[in-house]
Amino acid sequence: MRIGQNPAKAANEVAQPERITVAVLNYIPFLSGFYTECLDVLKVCLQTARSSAGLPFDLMVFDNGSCPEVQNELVRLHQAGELQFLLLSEKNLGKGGAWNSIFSGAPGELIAYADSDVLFSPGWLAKSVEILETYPDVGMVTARPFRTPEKYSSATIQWAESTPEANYQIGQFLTWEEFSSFVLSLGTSLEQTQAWYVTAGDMRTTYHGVPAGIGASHWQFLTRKSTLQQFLPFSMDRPMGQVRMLDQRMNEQGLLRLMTVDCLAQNMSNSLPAEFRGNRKAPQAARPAAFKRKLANLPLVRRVLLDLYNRIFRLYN
Amino acid sequence: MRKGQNPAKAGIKAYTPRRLGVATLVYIPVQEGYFDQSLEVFKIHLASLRQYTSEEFDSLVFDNGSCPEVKRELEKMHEQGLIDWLILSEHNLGKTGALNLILAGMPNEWICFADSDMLFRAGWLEACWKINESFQNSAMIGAQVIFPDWDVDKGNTEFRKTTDPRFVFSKEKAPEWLVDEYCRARGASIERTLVYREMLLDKARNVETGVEVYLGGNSHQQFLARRAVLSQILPLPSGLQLSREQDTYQDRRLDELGYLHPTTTVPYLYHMGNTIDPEIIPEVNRLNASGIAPQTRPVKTGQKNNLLWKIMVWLSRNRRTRQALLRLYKNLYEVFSS
Repeated sequence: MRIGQNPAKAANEVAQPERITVAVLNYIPFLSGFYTECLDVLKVCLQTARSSAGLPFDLMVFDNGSCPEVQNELVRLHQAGELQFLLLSEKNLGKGGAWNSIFSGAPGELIAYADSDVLFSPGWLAKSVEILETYPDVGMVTARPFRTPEKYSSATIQWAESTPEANYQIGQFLTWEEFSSFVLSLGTSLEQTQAWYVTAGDMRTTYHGVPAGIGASHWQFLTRKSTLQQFLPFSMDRPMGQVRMLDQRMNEQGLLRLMTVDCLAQNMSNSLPAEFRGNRKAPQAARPAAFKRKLANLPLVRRVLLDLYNRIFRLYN
Repeated sequence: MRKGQNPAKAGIKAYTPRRLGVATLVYIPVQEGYFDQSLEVFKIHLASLRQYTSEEFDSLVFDNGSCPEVKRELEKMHEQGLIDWLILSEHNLGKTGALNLILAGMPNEWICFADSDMLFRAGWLEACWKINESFQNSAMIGAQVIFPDWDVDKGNTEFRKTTDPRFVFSKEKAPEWLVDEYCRARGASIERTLVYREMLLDKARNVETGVEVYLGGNSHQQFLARRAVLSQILPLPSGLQLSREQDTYQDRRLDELGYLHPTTTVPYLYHMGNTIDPEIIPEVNRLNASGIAPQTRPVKTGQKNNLLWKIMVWLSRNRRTRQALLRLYKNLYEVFSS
């Protein structure tokens, strides 16, 4: 039974969430193999998001069923006051399922979403907000320029071409360093990256004095919560791989998909950048003997081994 | 940069949420004074929920800025599989602020919300499902009538005018034991108890199914609702920790939208408040240890019934073979990353 008066009833006001929620989605099922460095990558992601945003925000992490070591570390960060909201899911809801929870539940009017392997640079949030608030009907803003498939930005291109105040330009705006730092981070070969660099160009626009690249992507973006509501729920039943839908649907709705012209977000993927490594050495995968590599690359053998690799992953996932 | 292949991209099925999700809101800022027994009360709540919920469900606990000791305890329970989704908030967002996150974010088709001091009793869910079937257009189904909420007619005005012959209406006093139990749990004065004993409650009965409900006495302490209905009234206003006005906003909005707010006529809940009432100790003692044990785990997603998979599952249970499999996994990763 109730004895006494609940002191919570006497409190006049409660903390109000910040206008912006920075939401990071994380999934590290174990700390070996592909995921050996992922906890360190996550920590760098959160640290750089927090220290270099340029605007106040609440930091929210949705952990999509990671291993206990990772969830414990997130709890520690939450208790240290570094995360305002921590959502721990026992099971992996898939990226779409997690997005449904994040985008519906995040309390901010603006949501800056990021995968957990994004490295942020100073001003990333302030610059993204500037674009979001300057351009009309913005769907999403990604905090770095890179080349994205034109088909997902056709509405933006059309808007830029047909709007007199929008100065639309096509050219080679990205330096090799800017271009390659991102493309190489995806595991693309140097030859392929070089070939892409010379065979395509970049699209930019300047509107009311604010320059922006054309294109955006689902791995990191800023958007309005109200904009996202029209795309919910995402019906994705796999952990990864179907998130292009958001890019596609935003474009179909005629919303602008833009990027900052400076590189303010970088993909770390599963390895820690050298500048955050300190004295630690990068984990070196033991290089299998040449004959083993050759054997493993035989199509049939490779298929069997990959199947086994994935089955073990599932066992412990 | 990316090294190797992310195994999560191999097309593994994601977890599919169950039909029912149950959300509990916890706020224990200190473990003394008013909140001295609150963690124990919450554990009893969770045990009763697990023991008396007749179908599998996903459980969510939203911690609204409790003290570190409580958060650690919740984290432990999450690790043990007693809580499926744990949300930790650094600050207290107020009850409606938390509800905004909970109700918008839960993926289940049906959501049961409960305060952390609700003791569930056997049959609560079955009774609620029966009401849902017999009284269509129910928005929030409560498992206990709440007397003060009678002042506001929530969502039933239009329904009372129905000429549908399947429904009959009556006005009745609640049984004395029900009123007394209700008042004892809330520490209500004897004067208030006497008022409630004389109060005439609106009862409706579906003559086809025989299901009876009280109309209008539903509240925010616990309710079962369809997510699609709740999404029509979000976001709720939030600014105060526990505000009656903000707390009842959702009732009023659902009322305006024409939804019903029925409750069971039998109390399937007991409001434990901040102490364990001696009167309910026998009930608490009946909550067996399995009540706070993890629910039966679903079959692993993506699991196949072929022989190789079965052998691997069997091998994965043994510590040594587990290590060997993980070593094999690491070696394969190295092969594919080289």
